[in-house]
Amino acid sequence: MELGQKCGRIAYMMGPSQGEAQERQMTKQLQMAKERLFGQGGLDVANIKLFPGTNRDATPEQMAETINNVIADLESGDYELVDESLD
Amino acid sequence: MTYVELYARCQSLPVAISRKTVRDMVRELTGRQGGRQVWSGRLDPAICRGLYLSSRNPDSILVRQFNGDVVVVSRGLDPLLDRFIYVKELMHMFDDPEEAVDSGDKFEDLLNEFGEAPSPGRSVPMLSEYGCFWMALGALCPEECRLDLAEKRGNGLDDHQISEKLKLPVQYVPRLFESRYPDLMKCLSKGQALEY
Repeated sequence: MELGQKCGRIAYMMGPSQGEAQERQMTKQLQMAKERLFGQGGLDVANIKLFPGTNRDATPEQMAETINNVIADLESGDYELVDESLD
Repeated sequence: MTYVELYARCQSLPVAISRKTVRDMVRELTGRQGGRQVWSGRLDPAICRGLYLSSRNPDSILVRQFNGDVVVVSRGLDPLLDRFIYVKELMHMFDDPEEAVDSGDKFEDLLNEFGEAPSPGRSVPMLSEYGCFWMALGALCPEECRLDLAEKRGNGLDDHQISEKLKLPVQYVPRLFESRYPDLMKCLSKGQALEY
């Protein structure tokens, strides 16, 4: 067996690296957000826009994750209606 | 573009213009009844401080609870920033269909563009993100007031005092006096799209 094949086999046996697993998890957040916003039985969103956070290096996956959290909170009623008399 | 009418109406209002005044005009001009603001404790301000959502699904919480349009802002922000983010997001109720992010692909593109360094060839939805920033400034600071403040600025009036008067976050006060501001507002107040 060639060295390259051996390495590939060892990597296969060890499963995905921590980085790969994290990346897969993060991609999952983006897929979940797309499904919730635009998928069948989802919110059927006609428009979504964002005001970015203070971390300019935030990734699309991190943004998707925080959006998923907000949607879950809106659906479960865990939000606070802002007082209309505020300036 | 009904922002033209909103801008015109704001010119005769005394400052500071309340977010509810702006919201009521946006409702009247768009013929839509949504646009309430809610606070969320899980909108991580390091990642995203505000969110505008518009839904067409009549069974969704957004339609049932908020008449279709809602603005979510991170709980606990500085009150002036909270107010500005709300008004900026509210401006998206004026988005035309081309500016809307209404599919998974456009959503992914928008998230990617937020992470990019400024570059040519911005998407139309991303340009509307920039446009709404200026539209909010234009709605909250009538031009006559801005010209008066510009004259006094540097002659005893500092940005903190202007921030207090207009109830705008102090970090955005200098944006009102950028040399490109008059040209940008000339475009927006005539319903023309901004080009970058």
